[in-house]
Amino acid sequence: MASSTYGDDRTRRIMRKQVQSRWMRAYEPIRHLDPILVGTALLLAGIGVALIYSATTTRVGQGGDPSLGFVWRQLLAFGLGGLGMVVAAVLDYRWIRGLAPLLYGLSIVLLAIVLVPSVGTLVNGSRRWISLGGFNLQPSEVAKIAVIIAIAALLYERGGEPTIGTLLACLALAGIPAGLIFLEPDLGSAIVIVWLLFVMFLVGGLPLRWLAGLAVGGIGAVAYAFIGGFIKSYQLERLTAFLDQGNSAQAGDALYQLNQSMIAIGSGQLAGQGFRQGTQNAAAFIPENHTDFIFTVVGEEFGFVGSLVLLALFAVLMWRGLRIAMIAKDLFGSIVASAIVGLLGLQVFVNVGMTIGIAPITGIPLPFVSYGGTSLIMWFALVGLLLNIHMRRFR
Amino acid sequence: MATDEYSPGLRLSMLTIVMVGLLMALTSRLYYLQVLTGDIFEDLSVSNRTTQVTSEAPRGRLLAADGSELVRNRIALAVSVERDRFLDAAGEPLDDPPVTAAITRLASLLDVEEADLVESMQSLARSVFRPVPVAVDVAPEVVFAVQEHPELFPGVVAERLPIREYPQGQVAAHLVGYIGEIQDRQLGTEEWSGFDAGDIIGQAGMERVYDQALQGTEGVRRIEVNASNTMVGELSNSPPIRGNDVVLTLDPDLQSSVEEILEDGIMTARAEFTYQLDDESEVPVEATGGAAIVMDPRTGDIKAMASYPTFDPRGLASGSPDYFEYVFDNDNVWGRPGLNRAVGGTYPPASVWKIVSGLGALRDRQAGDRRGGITPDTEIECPASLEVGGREFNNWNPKPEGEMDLAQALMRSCDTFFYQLAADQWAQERAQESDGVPVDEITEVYGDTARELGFGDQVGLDIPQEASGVIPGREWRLNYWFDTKDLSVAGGDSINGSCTMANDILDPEDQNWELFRDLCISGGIWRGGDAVNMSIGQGDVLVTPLQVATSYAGMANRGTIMKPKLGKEIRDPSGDVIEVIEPEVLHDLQAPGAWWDELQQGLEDVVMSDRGTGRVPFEGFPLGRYPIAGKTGTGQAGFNAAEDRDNVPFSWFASYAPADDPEYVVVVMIERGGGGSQTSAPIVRSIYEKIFDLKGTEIQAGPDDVD
Repeated sequence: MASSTYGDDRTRRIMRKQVQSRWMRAYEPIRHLDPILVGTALLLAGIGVALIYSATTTRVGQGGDPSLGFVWRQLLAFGLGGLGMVVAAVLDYRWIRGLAPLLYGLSIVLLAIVLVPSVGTLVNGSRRWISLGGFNLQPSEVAKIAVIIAIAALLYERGGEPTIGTLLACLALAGIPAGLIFLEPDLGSAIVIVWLLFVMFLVGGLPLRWLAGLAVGGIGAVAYAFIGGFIKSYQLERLTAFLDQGNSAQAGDALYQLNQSMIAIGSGQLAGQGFRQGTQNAAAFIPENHTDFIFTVVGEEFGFVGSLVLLALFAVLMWRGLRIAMIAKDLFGSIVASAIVGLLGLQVFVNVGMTIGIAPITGIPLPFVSYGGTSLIMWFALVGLLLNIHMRRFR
Repeated sequence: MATDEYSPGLRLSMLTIVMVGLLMALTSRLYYLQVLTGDIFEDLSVSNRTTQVTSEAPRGRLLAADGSELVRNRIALAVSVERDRFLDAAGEPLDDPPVTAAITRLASLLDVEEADLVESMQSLARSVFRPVPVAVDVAPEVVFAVQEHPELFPGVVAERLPIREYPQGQVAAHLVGYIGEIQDRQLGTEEWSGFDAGDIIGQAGMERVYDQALQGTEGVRRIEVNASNTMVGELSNSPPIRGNDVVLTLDPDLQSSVEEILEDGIMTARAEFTYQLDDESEVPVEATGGAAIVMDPRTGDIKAMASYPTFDPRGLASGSPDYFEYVFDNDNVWGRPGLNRAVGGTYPPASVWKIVSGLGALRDRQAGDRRGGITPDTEIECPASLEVGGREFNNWNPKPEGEMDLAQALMRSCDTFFYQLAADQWAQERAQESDGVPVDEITEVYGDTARELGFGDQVGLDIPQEASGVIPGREWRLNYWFDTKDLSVAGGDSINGSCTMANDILDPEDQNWELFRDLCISGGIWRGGDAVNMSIGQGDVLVTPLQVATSYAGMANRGTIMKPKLGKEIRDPSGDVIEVIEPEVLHDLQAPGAWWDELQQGLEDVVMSDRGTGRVPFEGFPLGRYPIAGKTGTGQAGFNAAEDRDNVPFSWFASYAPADDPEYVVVVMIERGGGGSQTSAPIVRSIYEKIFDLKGTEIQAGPDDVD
């Protein structure tokens, strides 16, 4: 009807094509980027570079020009991370889902290789890095992505109705890398894998009473590990140092580190000492203040206000990630997005928490901020993945 | 599809709640740390990165009265090591090849054993920021070697350290004392509050008494450090301030002369003198030691004070344990150089005590309504012996000397004169005792007079370890008897261990058993014989040479007894006097002028009358120009010839001059020195010749059989 209104068939056909192409263009993934997510991630990484600059070049009593080596390397990783984000966003995440077995296999191989004494670099008693001509690859970071994708793919296939078989398969998929990481040893990263499994089970539709059962079993297993002596004494000391605060008679290195860290952060007070003005930082009272303990630089130099700003930026990332999990086109996207948020939340909590005495001291870096190429590239890749899911929520 | 119990939205909300919870936990903890308790952590961060380094202040000097230096600081070249470059936190040498090699090289450079070198690095409790001296007084070549080859001696520095130096050598060793590291038993005591382990303090003599003035103000440097305790900046620096100088009353020239004269006198006595015992046999004079004091009676200033044997303060300053042992070996009566005999040794005063008894006898007459005691004019007999309580007490002179007054009794040093007076006073006191007056309420005129003259207690010279001496009396005897009657027998004293002797050791058949039994039962009683012995400075009386000098100064002042002192004034490093140590009156003894005249007459006659006991040694001395008043004393430690043979009497001479307007009190005591005019009086004469700048004259020793 109303041929007069819409013209003849040809005209109608052209119009339909035009409308269709407008729709097509409207749902074109590139039109559905999440600028807040990307902007926040870039801002955090930028802050990280500035903090590494402060942590590694402010040294009182040392002559000569400060070495900018750490800053340049972090900037290089920043660039590679940007590239990784683009790659992770451009490839359709459903296609990536198909690559899950390959990715998973690769990460297991890397985790196995790093344990070989001639390959893995021994640092502080653990083999966590593979040296690749000036760049150190940390297989446990790769494994985190691989585990997320592999388990999300498995749960997706069950479509929200996982069986006992699915559960056992997931446990196995997570258990192998977690075990290998535990052997490095890197207790913190092993615990992160277990945590990821829980988050994905939660979002992936595992019945809540199964989850409760798993939680009880998990706690039992941890208790057994402690009692059975599988945890090395230095690991135990680091893990429990924060419970021994004030008991300086027993103060080991870990407690020293914690005390110095709390002095630095506490002395920042409300507004901080100012950029590169932190005396505890400058006088090298805190070991590893450019990597695991980088939050002490924030706390000392920018105070409570600066700490809140940093935490708020992480909160923005989590908000965007949860939003993406809500609006994802499929369960796979939801699970992956929530796992990334869960990973981010845990790492921020454990890393910041250990510097202020409410979490055990583990070697978990602060996402985007801590010095470390693999971590930074991995986090940009994960942001790319979130972006990927966000962009393709319509088709 | 999705069952009722699975809602992705619900599950995501649960995840959101967990994430919010984690962020809230972080925020609240940060609020607590940074806002609520941030100032505490701010303080902690300040103390974390700052530290104090103190540097020792040079001690002040000890100066003689004329300003010449007795003790000063010298700058010594020293080699020190930065301890943390060589030792680990536990104080053990680092197990590092370059460190081991450096230790080997340093040991061979300093020519010491490696183990000794490491020990000296470990031994001192000092700040890790201050290098530890491992070798002091090294040759300049050693310093050059260290400075020119820092690569061979990492962590080794050459330093200039202040060291105590004694430009006049051994002079006044007993008085200046010495310094040393504070000892464990001194740490934390009230006297040394504020001192830490490793601090150097005065340990004896003036160094100790005036330590507070001599100590300088430590330099304090506040520095900023990093986590490995490496200095990165300086916050403040107050340099050390040198301690104040203490000026002593000593006349340095006289002091060294007196020390020489005393030593010469003792050497002469050892080489030449013999002492005749009551049984006419002769024993050599041992003269184990002696003391000499020159004091200004008007102010109490000690002009010179010598004690023999002496020691070298440099030996103690060097910290040699062997030398320390030698100086403080108290078991050897021939040695004990560490003992300042002038203030720390107690001896029976013998006849120099007779001014006390004379004054006591004069007071006795005045005090009671009875006709006891004497007036300056009273004349009584001086028989050859006197019986008191059934026992014979002899005068030193076996011939009776007839009637004499107090002045003559002093001149002739007549013992029996004083025996009679003391026995009479004792009988009067004894009567009170029989009437039931408690022991501590009976007035003992002689004892009280002695106390007022400065005996029986420290006179308060500003030097440590002054002895009190003993004034015996009823109360003292009772306590002493009670305390010692049951002790094991230590010999020497008859009361000591008398009950043990009578009850456990001696057979009742033994000839001495009855004597000990009596002493055991009634040894607490102050007997007439005790009072008689005390009246001539024998028996249980013990005094220090300083007390004798103080009392003779009081005599010279006619009753005004000045507190002796060694400190004159304190000057700050620029030489301004900041404190004058004023003379103090120890006691003002009121007595009629006629009494002083009588005593003075007696003391003048001792030296200047033909019959005086001290005449011979002063023959040829210009007594017209420099009249001398004095008193000889021969203090017997034993009761008979056999005991005297083991223990030759202590020789005394106490004097002042010029007798009409006294400026100097000179007292000399020689342990086991024989007669007072034999050994001590010639020494006193030599000292006066030095004081009055007289040419050395031939001095004749007095007879050994005159008291």
